[in-house]
Amino acid sequence: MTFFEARDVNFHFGSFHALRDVSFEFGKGDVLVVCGPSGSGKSTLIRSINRLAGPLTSGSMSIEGRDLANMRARELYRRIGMVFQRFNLFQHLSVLENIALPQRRVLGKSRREAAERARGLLDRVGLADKADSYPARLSGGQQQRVAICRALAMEPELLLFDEPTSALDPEMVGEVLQVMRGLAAGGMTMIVVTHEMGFARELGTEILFMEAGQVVERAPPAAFFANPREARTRAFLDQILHH
Amino acid sequence: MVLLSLVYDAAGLILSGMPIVIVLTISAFIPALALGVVGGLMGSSSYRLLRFIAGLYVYIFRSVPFLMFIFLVYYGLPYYNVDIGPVTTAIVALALSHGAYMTEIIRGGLLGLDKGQNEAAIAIGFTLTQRLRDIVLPQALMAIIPSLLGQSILMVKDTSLVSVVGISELTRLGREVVIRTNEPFIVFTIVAAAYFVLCFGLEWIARRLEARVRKITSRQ
Amino acid sequence: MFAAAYDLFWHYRDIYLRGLENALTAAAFGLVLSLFAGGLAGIIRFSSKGTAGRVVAIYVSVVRNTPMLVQVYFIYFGLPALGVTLSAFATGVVALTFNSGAYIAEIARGGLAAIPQGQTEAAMALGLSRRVLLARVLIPQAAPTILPAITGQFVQLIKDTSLLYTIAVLEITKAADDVGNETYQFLEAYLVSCLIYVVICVVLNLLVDQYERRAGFSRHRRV
Repeated sequence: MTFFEARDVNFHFGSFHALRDVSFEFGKGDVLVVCGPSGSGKSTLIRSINRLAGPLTSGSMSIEGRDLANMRARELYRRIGMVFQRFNLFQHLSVLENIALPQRRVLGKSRREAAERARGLLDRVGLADKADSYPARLSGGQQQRVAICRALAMEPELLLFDEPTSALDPEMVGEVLQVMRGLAAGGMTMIVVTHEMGFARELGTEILFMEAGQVVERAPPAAFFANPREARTRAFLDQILHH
Repeated sequence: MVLLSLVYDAAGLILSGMPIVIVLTISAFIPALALGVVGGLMGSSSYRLLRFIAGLYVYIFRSVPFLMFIFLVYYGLPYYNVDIGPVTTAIVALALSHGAYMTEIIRGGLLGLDKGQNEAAIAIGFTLTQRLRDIVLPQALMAIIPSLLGQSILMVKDTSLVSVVGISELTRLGREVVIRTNEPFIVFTIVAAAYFVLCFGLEWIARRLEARVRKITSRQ
Repeated sequence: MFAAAYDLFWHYRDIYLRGLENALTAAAFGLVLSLFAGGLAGIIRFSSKGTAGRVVAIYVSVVRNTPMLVQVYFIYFGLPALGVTLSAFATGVVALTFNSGAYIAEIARGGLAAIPQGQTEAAMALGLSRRVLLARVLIPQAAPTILPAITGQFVQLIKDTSLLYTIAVLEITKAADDVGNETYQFLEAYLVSCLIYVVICVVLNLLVDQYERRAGFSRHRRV
């Protein structure tokens, strides 16, 4: 059952052709891992799904057959959540408010309901005691876990992760991946741009390898790591696994 | 007897001079802030023409002394048959001049905002109004309120210059008392102390606010 | 309006140029004197936690929190009361120095404070005296970084010469006033002076840009 589908997507930044004829699809509960060298268009791909990058030059993306380009912003952002590389927690709001305010403003929940749900989520990621702290006082790993809670609180059908561990010190990567592991186990549908090949191998339903704006290879992790079809994929894996 | 009359003079000086300073500052601060918001939005916009206009506004007022400018307004407006009296002239001059500095402050505050904050707000589904009200403006304001208060100190000090268009504010009154009493040290010390109390108070508030902001935005 | 202003400027160029000359001279004297006084004050503030440092802190606070016009009056009316009679121009220079000294003290202190602690620690570990530390390690490193701020202070000084109008020194603002009084073309007369200020600023800003580019300023800038 196809849940998400991208068809012949092209995207330009000015004259730069950032995405070239990108097509793929996946089902509900899948974890699509997107990898590739920097500048390959991975982030552009994920940011064009929720229109942060701007409108597509051509092609289409859809969820359950509904075109994302014509979807109203409210609905689009309700259905698709996002976790950023640099967390982007609201600096002037406490951890709790970061998770509660969006629920109140976008979902129309009451103050109490929103706070309750926020506390529940914080408890799940082991940060219940940080509810009243400001983001700047948290470590990167803690901030990213809060950011995941903020996205989850909106009950999205699809969660986008834009290199969620790239801005973290090595010792904090584990705690964030642990939370993501829990989400995958719980059946959350996710697109994850990442360099964490261990995560990709363990939890990816499918791996999308991109280079120069194109999808070079798409395969389940077992096949992707054991015998990649494309020379470019092999070169990339060589570099990332053996250095 | 001499001392008594001096005390009397000093009290009268403070009582009649200080309110004028405060009223002038407040009445000019509000339009200056409005100018600053407009200028700051223009200066941080993506349209080159708007940025140029804001930049020119700032540049000119940074180059021309306020004393010079108040004369220009004072003599310039009647030239266009605008007759608004000295007090309004003073407020217009203060507002225009300090609006330029506030333009720079607000432009800096807006440009200093992390783009990711706005993106995150979009990705969560906030509308434009919610984004401005809940995220962008609170953060910009938090960052610039100490600077705006700092600007209000400069404004208090600049009110001393409006005496040249015939307004009897604190400094001018002080000068009159000096001429009458021939006690320049005592009288100008009193005048200076009055300004000092106002400015130092504002500075103190600005520092307190800055410390609070830093507590929120910095690690430890 | 601008054509009339130009005619006015040409006709009364002697007054304007004398005003310009006086303003630049007063600002230059003020800069040099306040560099000495303010530089010294800044070093004291940076290196003394005791009475001397506190005295400088009070001086800076008083100057920053009172209008310069009051300072000018204080000096202009106060000096004769002390039995010191100076010309209006000299009084102006004293006032400019007194005011600017406080700002330069802050600039100097900031420049010194921005030098990494490691420099001081290294000098102490080598057994250098505090005097040598300041003179040979800290000041030479701080000086180039504060130069742009000093130029900014010079622009401020030129703007501040306008206050000398109030004690009847013929500077750029007074020149406009004189020309206005003679011709009754006040607006044009002041417009000329405004443009003179703008031109001075443009020229000084260009010089600063030149310096920053030429000196490879990034070399001195610290992270």
